[in-house]
Amino acid sequence: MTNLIERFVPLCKEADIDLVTSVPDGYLVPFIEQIDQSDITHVRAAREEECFGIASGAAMTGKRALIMVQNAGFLNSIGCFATLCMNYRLPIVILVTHRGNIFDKNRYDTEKFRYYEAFTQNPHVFSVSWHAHKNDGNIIARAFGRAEAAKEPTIVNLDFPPTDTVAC
Amino acid sequence: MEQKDAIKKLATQARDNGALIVSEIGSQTVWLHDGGDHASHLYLSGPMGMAPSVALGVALSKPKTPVLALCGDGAFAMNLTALVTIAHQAPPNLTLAVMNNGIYDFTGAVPSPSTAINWQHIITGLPNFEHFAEFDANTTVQFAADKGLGFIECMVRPATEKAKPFPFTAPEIYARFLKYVQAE
Repeated sequence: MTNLIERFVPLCKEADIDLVTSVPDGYLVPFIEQIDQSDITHVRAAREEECFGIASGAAMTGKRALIMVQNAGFLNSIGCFATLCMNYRLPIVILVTHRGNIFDKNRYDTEKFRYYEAFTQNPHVFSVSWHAHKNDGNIIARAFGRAEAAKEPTIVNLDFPPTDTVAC
Repeated sequence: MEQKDAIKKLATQARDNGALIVSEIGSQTVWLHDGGDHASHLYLSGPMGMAPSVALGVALSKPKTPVLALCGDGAFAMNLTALVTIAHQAPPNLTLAVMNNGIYDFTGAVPSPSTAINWQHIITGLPNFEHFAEFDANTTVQFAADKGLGFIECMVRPATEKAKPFPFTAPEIYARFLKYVQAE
């Protein structure tokens, strides 16, 4: 057993990720630090919606691109998610830190939690809880496999602190 | 110069140099298609302002190929932060071109607040941009993967005619572009 921070870059490598683009969140900071020490291309975006454009451009060339944003940042980007990522049927994976839930010390972040929950309950949006599958192997690789098979984006919700131990 | 003529001339020069071209939704996409369709064209259909960001993703993924982003001034103003992200990455194979007419030409020619922007001043303030050029009927632009991050401003007049109908769906554009870049 190890924690997710130590496993993150190996999980990304196993998933053959070419490019990561992010806007930070407290949960994402240790991941970003690990990615920056690896040879995976990392694009720091000034704004979350840009991440969706950058990852889409990479995906259009056949690369595997991972977006990392907070749930409130995803909400900022719904138009781009819908009219670019979904419209072009792009196999990108979006790692969303789902803040404000019961495992989060920031449980007071109720509105970003509530509105993001409402969006992802849309049957046209595929999202999966990492917490529910935290001991089920490489969820990032599985998400890319699913995105490429279904020809549409796949969202992985990081809904527990990355310091938790996992068996993947 | 009308936008259709500027885009046709600039796109021809880019294609002659082996560039991939990403076009913004609306005027840039329909006039790029109208001037001569090609599989190296990545036509965007939404949302406004994403052409620079998508082009950055393409440029980083295809570092040995020049990439041109065709942008409108109104759309670019919706995603100005992309200039910061692009300057930070500074891919040497990327050139951004803004078609500046001060209006939303595809949306009833309503005036755009982008008339408040001095593009040259902004780009000069981002030192990782190595080139700034004004483009007109007599300009020739060279595109190369190692040229350095560049920006082109083209002053254009509002359109006086309609472009021919645009025939592709978004998945068709993606499939065709992907096939083209993977065959390079």
